[in-house]
Amino acid sequence: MEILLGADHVTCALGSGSTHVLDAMLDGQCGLVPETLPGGIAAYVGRAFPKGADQHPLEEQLLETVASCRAQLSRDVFAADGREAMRSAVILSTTKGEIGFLEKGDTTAAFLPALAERLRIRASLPAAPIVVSNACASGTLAIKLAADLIRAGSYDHVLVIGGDLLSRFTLSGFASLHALSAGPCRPFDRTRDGVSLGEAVAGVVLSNDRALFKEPLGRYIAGGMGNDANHISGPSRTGEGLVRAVNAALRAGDKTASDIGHINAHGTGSSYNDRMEAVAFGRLDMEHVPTNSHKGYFGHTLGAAGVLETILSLHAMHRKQLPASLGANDLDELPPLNVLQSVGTPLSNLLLKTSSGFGGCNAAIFIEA
Amino acid sequence: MDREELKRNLKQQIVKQLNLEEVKPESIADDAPLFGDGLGLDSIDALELIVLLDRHYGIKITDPKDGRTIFTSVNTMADHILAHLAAPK
Amino acid sequence: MKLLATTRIQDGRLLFNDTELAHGIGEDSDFLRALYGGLGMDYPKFHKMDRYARLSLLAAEPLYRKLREEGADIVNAVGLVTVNRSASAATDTEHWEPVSRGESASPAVFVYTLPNTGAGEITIRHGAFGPSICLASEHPDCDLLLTIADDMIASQGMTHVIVGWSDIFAAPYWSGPPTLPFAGFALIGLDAGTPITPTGLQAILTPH
Repeated sequence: MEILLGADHVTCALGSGSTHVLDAMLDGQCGLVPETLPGGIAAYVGRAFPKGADQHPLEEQLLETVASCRAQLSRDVFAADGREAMRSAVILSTTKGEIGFLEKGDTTAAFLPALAERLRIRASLPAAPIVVSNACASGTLAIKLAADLIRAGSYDHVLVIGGDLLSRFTLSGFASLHALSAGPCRPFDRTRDGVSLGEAVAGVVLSNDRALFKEPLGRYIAGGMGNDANHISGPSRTGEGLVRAVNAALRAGDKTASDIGHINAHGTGSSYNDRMEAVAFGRLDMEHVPTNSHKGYFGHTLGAAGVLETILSLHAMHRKQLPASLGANDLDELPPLNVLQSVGTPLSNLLLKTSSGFGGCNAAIFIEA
Repeated sequence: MDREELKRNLKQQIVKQLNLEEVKPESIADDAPLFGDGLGLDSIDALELIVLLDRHYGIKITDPKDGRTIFTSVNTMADHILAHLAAPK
Repeated sequence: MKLLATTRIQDGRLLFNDTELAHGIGEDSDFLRALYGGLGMDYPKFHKMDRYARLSLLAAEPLYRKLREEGADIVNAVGLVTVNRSASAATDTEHWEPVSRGESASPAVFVYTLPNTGAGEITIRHGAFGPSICLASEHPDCDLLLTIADDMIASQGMTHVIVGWSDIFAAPYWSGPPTLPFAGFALIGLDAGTPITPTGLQAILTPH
């Protein structure tokens, strides 16, 4: 069985549409803007959604993404009353969902399944989306889960959507951790000083039917997951969970480090995370692979990150033009990584995408562009 | 403020702020290292101590790295607080 | 796949395979603390966790003890699937409260404003490096949960998977009077035990 990806759509601080966003990245544009948080804290954020009085801003963006993805398919397998309804599912990756409700005092309306149910109704989906919430690893994990479910025979087609809002809830929390960068985040840079949060939505369809896509974006090879089992918010210093996740994916896909053409890392710009990743990739003998982080362009988009960055990486590999790791001006030398400081070329058509999150969760996926 | 009273208060505040349920405040020695083996405090605890200084003593620490010397022990915390209270505004 | 053991926290009681191991009374943290004491646990980090993470940790504890008895490879070969409806809602509110008044947030509270902290704390306590996935749904989709558990065993090299629902606010398929925080966990393995079906799993993951 081959599992293909395609029919993608993204919206982030650099705009809407995968091609448009990638053009901006290759042009070196940064979508992060300064914003002073309550308490006088300076930060940079990636604003992507119109500011308005909308009660359900994330829902609206997700619906737009769902519609855009579905419109690109040769047939609408996600119609609730369609022939393939029982063979199609949606997976939603998000950390805080429609958090505005909680900020306004309505806890129950902020529950993630409530958002899933609203999406089901408004998009006329066969069932409420399966919600994956594994912190910042959610998006990559959602893609892996989609592929696992297709391979297991539960579904033929899975639409993976990811999204999170920029919110006072999240910004204040990261600020209390002293985790925000005062300027635009600089993943893998020697003097990096924290993350820049961003909002985004992204969607991509996985299917075992090539005919569903006008032009597939990639072919899913394998994935893996591993835990750091170390600390609730600090990554393992030895990158244990990430190493295990990548090794599990290598084994499952029968691949070796020398097969990999490009690594799109998690690269948040936090001192600990980026170091952990460098340690992990070193242990995996992958320090020669052209590597980047996308977060310097549009920020850390939490639940959207894994989906958004996988999509953009695949488009980049098709073009054989990998965006520079924006912000990595002066590389941190220990341990060494082949971090792209200008537009680069993949060594092969095999992408490794990794994500890591609070709670110690790590996910790795291999996709052939 | 009396230095002994300050240290007593600090110990109680530390136990409360950091949820050290199984620790009696009076069992914390004035010069015992707070981090490392002693109380087993971690990086989140260090950030919570920053919140403690702000909430109880109005002292703001903007760079967590400054915390390393200040939070070495109850003694060093008391020193810092007293110096801050004595400083001309 | 076979069911090896279950735990349940309901009405302040912690049951292991339907036998009471500990109990506490009261809706607040004291009942969870009583269960911690009743299990004879010595783990100071427990007191730093929010109620949801504590509930999850306590529900999982007897199952990991069972795994150690069986000589299972907890480090490498035990997977974890957690699911609930309200995610970290109680702690979300606690985090938001000072922020809404213009005060700074507490970092120790904020780190628990995610639903996968239950799984995170479980894997940290037991040194389990295997895969863990956290889902959110109105009620547990037991077909899906068993498919994921089966995949962890068949394709990801796990020998056992723990599947659990733990929620501070909500109990699935329960329209009765508000029950204290509820947790229902199942330990699933490949060889020994009774065959497990979606209906069987649902009975474990819902109150009665």
